[in-house]
Amino acid sequence: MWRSLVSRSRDAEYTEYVAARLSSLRRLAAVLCDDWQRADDLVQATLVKLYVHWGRVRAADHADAYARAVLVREFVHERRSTWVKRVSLTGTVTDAPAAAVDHDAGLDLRAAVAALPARQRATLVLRFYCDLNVDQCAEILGCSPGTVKSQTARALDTVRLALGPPHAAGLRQPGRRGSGTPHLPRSERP
Amino acid sequence: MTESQIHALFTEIADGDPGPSQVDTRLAQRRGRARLRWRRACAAGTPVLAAAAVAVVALGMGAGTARHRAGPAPAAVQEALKFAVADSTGTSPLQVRDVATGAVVAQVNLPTEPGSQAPMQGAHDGRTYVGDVATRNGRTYVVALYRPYPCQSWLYQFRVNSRGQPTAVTPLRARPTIAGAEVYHLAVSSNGQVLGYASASSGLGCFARKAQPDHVGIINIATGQMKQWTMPTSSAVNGVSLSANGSLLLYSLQLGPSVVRIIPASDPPGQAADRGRTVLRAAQFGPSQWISFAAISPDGSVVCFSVYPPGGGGPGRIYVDDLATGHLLRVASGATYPGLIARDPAARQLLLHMPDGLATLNLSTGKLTYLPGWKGLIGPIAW
Repeated sequence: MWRSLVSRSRDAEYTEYVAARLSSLRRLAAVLCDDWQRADDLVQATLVKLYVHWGRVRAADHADAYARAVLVREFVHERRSTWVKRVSLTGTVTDAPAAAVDHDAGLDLRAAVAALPARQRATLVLRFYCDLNVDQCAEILGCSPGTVKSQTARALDTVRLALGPPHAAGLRQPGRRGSGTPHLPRSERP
Repeated sequence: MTESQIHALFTEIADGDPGPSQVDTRLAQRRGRARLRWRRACAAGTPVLAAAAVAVVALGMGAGTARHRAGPAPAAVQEALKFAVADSTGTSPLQVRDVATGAVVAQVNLPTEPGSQAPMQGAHDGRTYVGDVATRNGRTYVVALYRPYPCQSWLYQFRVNSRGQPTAVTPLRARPTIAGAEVYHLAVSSNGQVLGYASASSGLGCFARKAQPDHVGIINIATGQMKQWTMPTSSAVNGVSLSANGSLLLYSLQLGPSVVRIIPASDPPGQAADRGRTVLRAAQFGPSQWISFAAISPDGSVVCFSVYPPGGGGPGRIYVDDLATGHLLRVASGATYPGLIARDPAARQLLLHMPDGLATLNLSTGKLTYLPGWKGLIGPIAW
């Protein structure tokens, strides 16, 4: 009886949280995966983990940060495991809409970023999309701040190499600016 | 190019949401509860049992039980993986091919005059066609031949030895013919006692007959006793499969609607829709999706199947579904040729066409191994 009541309360809280945060989790997953179907798979797996560890989510200072960390780690782990563990989903199987115009540079950049190893891509996403500082990235990825800096630098080097000299000139290495600083000025945001 | 462009790229991806979320929160809760149950089971001092059961789910198709999965496959099955029988023309002869290299090691000439045992010399007679080929262990094969005039099917068997050389083709002793039907799908239970089939008595093959619904059925190989169930008239059976002891017959339907159903062999004959149960529906994977292939594990607890988008050619997704827990895994994506998927006798691997050619898919690990030697062969394969 007691367990049932606890379970109902847990389910209600969980459902409420997921309903509110599903959209942002999907967006983050899509940025990590560059594929909306895989993103939904990733979110699905994340939601299972969140349910299992719901006690920790509730106890966390920032539930969103906890959920984000679970999602990013699940992404890195999935790519690292010997085979891609995927979950079947219901609903329409849809494709991302094609870009209205083919921008060569944009496509090249997308391809270069897509080719990055999962951990490096996750680092770029956390720093350039989520606006996290080095320490926060390190906490989520479970590594040292120095590793985050080196992963970022390597990722940018790889992208720079893939794009060639004309594109590479503007790519700086944000890790060298020091930790704790958002590396993308708001004024540069589109 | 600056870092802002990387940010812009990520923002563009995030803004490209193609539609409603496919995330199922209730499914996540169910799976979460299942994991919590396992944790409690482990905490209660049954870690070995829990780990074994998790392994069963992870292994998916495997061989159906922890006991089977833990040990190596039987020698006959391991040997069987060396060869497969391909039906590339729909007529005689069949080809025995080395699975690893794709090389044709022998040909199997089928009888030119069903009912007699005169071998067909390398060419078909223009009247007799191969309905399907099935094997229970990769050594013993059953072949269904059919002829539109008169509308009739013949069942034959042959063996392939360890060097891939076939024996003579002989009629299935207990049930050599099925009158008034075109047998177009076959399956043999692992114990070699039951034959499952799907047959049509109208349509392309036996078109001269008055239109009749299709059937799925089973045949006791020892006694020849038949039992069959009538399909809805609008349906088309995509394949049949049997559990190891032949007690469960699985069949998949392409049309109206596309589903996978299981009928216990002990059920009385009648309308198939009134017997057994539906275990999978293509609609759950999206509108107009359809299931092209489905096979049941030897112990009947797991189903492996493929789902294709409308239009036929692919890309198809391969799933493994644990019927008891509802645990569903997508094992592979991108398969082509929906009708040309075969499973190995131990149900541990599939043989399927991918964009880069024929490949084996390990259902436990999801690993694809391409078989470049098979390049160019497009046709059903019995494995």
